[in-house]
Amino acid sequence: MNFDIQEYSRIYITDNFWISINDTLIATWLIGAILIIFAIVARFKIKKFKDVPETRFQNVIEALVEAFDNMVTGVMTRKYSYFGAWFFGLIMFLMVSNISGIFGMRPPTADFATTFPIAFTTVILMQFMGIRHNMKKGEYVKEFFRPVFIFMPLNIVSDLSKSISLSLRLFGNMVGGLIVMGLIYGLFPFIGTIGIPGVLSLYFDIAVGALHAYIFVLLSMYFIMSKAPAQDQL
Amino acid sequence: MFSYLNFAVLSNDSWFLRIDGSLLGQMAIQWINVIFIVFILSWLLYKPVVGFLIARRERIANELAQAAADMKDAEEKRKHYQGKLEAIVMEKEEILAAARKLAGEKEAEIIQNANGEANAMIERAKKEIEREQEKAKDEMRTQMIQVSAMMAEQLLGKGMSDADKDKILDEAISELGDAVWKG
Repeated sequence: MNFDIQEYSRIYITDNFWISINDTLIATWLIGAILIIFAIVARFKIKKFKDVPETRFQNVIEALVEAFDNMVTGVMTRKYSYFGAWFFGLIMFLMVSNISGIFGMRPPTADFATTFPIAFTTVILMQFMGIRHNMKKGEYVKEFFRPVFIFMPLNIVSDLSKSISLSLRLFGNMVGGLIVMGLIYGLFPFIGTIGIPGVLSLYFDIAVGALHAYIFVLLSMYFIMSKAPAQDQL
Repeated sequence: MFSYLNFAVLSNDSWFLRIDGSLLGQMAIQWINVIFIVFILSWLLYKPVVGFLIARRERIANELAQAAADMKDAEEKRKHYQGKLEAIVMEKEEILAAARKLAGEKEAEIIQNANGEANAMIERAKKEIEREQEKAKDEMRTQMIQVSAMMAEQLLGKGMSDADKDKILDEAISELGDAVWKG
């Protein structure tokens, strides 16, 4: 049983630095292509949207976006809801990536090389929030010296560690689900893989996948909001 | 150092979690991939839908505000026309009252005129009756005179003078009295 990421090709940039063409990259491109095609089709249909929805597609898209917008507004307030543009794309990518296992792909999120950059983006956005919205009277800088100045290195590490904790949480859960499902499929002979593993797949691939995409995005929002001015925090 | 940019080789390597020189490159590629996908989804899907929802919300809010303004306007017009209607009703009442008053006066006048005319007619009738009575008296007197004269002529066997006839007639009439004529 092999849970490794399979590499197919390498593109060398230097002798010791190369880009790997592997399962994760191919799955990411595939998922990206599916999402982009869906977005293009949706874009054409959005132009035909009526004030009173007439199609099921409009209802679904409206419900999806409105529910997400309510979530962003609920966590980040209307003032910072512009972050929703980033998180909407992110949650869609994470959802589809996390449940891609049921289509026989190796989820891109089961690779640390995918989860860490996304989590690190959250840390960048935290600093963006602090610099843009919390720089009055140097509050953003002062936060690093609280409760006393010697805590400054710890505060910096605390911020940076969020990228590690977020990325490892998602990576660990996705790899865990991958291994559990791999073991379950390995337990049964081929004919037995049709029933019970399918039901378990609903939980490990779909429910856990959707849940961890949601958790990742929700935690990212809370981390970013922790750098907002105190009066704007809920 | 960067001389092998397009140098691709086939590989059959595999790993579970590898931390080496290639990890940074993979992270960079994945970061670009994710940002590109997120940007496209946001640009093509999220922003247009949110824009549509916001525009619709604003349209509905505007329509509600317009409806409220129209309602207020309609209420003001209703009050305006209600006032006019009440004024018209009052005016109607006044016209009717004036008409009733005028009609009452006319009625009284007509009745008064009618009464006057009736009284005049009664008066005229009474006078007519009196005239008729006088006329009847004269005729009766004439006939009685003639009858009395004939009777007297037959009794006395002679003719009477006109003075005698008048005397006898007056005596007879005075004996009969007014009640006899009226009866």
